[in-house]
Amino acid sequence: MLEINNLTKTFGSLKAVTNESFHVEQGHILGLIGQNGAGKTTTFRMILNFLTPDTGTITWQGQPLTRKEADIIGYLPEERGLYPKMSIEDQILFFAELKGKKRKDIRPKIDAWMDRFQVKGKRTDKVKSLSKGNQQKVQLIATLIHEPDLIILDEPFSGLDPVNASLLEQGIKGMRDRGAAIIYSSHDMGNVSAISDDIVMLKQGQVVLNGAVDTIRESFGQTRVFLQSPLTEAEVQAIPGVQAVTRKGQRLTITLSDPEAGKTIFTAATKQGYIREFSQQPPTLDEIFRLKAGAANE
Amino acid sequence: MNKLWVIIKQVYLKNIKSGSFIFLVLSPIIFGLVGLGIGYLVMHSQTTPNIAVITDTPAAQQILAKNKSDFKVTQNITTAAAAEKALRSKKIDGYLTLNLQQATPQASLIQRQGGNTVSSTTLKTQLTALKTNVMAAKLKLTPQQTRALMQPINLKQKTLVFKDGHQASNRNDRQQAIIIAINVITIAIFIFLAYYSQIIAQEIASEKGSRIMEIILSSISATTHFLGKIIAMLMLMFTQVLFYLIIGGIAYQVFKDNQTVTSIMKSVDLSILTAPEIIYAFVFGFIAILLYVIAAAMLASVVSRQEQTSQAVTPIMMLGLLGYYGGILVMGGTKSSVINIGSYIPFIGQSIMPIRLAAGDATTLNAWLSLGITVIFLILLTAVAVTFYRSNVLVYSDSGFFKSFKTSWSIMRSERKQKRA
Repeated sequence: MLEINNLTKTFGSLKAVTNESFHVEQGHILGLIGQNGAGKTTTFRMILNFLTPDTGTITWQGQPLTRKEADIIGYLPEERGLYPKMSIEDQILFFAELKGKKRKDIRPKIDAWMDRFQVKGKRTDKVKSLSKGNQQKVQLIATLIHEPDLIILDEPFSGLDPVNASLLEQGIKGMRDRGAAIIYSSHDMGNVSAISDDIVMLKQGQVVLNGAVDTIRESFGQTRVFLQSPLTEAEVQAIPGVQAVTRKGQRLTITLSDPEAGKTIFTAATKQGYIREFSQQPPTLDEIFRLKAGAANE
Repeated sequence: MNKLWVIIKQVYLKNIKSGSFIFLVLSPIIFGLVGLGIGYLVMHSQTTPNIAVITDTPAAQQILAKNKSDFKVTQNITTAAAAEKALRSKKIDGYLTLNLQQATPQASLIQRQGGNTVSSTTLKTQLTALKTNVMAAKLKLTPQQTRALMQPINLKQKTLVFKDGHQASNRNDRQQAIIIAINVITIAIFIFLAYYSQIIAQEIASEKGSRIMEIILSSISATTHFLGKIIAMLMLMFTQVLFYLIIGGIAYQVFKDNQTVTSIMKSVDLSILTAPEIIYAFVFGFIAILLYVIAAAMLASVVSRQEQTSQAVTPIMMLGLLGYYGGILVMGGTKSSVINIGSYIPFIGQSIMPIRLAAGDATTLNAWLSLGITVIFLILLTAVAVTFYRSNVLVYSDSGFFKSFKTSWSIMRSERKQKRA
């Protein structure tokens, strides 16, 4: 388990991270979300020992995480970096050697990994001859091929098309099933809700949300109703406890100030019998993200 | 496997296969061969000129004919008319009219434009000797008297070199050769340090600019990475030197019986290579290269983009040039306290102190002092460079080099404070 306890890091007058605490268990995926400059990369850099926290501790299996544990970490930086003139194979082998692996142990695995991520090209091809998407996959293979126990992915989905994003999703889930603790950052809440077990949201260096995805959503109450019925916008708006109503085609999206109002809406909508849709839900991660990002500091 | 070795191997193999390294290694050989080729062409386009000798003293023609290296005498031409004709038909390159029997001996040389030219200096010497012989015969001198008359004065030269107040050596030629050798070594060292500083700066700036650095440093410490790169640079340098030694050895084996090579080898005193002054020059040079490479690596870790590399390396290259010119001044005999102080300053001293030492301007103690200062500085610089490197290679800034440098410096200090706390 990776445990982050009360981390604080300042750069001069800038507080990059303040009292940050969270943990990632093995076999779990944690999504670290937050706007640009919220402190995600600084957090990663402290875990990776690039930066020393002012206060606080980072432990792995109860022991302080130091350079000695570098081999168990797989790290994908936000901006990808490969040697353009190296072949795919040499590139992967070089990074694996840096993780303490032997070339002869890694070499036989390359083909399987290239198939898995559908890399177009031969292993002897120079990196610069690959498309950007394929370079990104090579980078990902280099991050994962040594089978790390702790995986840190900084914006892994950025720039990937939906097909490749789903390949990456499968890859991440595969690593989780193998028992790795995975922490990644993303702007795309769709990906976050699809694969994260837990999320941590940072805002200006502080943790504003922390927990299992469903628990967090539920904590905001069942304040969203999606409705397709004979009721008009005005009729819904008149119901006490309704905050806002928007229409898109046949469908009304209703925001409630009181979740209990859902029952009144349901009764009114079904007065004449069958309706096509009534769904009361907690807000989506995307909405929570916007809500939290927009809110004034507590 | 040792991760340090992984870095060394990667940097070494990448560079040794690169076009620019191969060109660097081969360029002196290529330029050398081109130079030799031009020299050869010049030498051989100028063949021995053929001349005719028209003289009132047939013995003179015989004597001149014995000289086969400076000119060849076509002996069957004995009249001015025949010579004129031969000259016109380009059979000869010139003809010499020599009247030794007159009271004042006269000689005139007529040459053909476009023909091979006769060296007038050599010819004059020979003609003077001939004239002296003829005059001696007229004066009825004995052969001994003639020889005594012809004997040039023997001028013995000797310049004393004083070192530490004592007469150190009276072999001035050797000392001069040492100074020249040191100058050659200084130039070579300047080329080496400029090249390898540039290479390591490029390496680091490109890895930083392409963000490979982050991946590397998530696997190994910045210190290991830094040292790995420095060691790889040294290995590349040794490879280069070794290559020259091998090529030199092979060339010597192939050409050792060649007349030109033998005569050159005779005039070069190889024993000066083991002279203490030369060894000092090499030691100074080696430490200087290390110093420059480390400083270049440190400065390059500040830049965010590869294009800024030259901006980062230029200041230390200027220092290198400064030292080099200092050395040239010392060689030219300039004595100045500024240069004397410069010979103790790291980055500059390596070009000045060895020449001062060889010129007898500095003592062995001075050299050791300068060397000591440089080594201590090298150790301190390495320690600072590693810390600096660790805190900088991951700092990106779009502002200029000096602003980035300042930012890096403050980050380094805050990191150091944290580590100590």
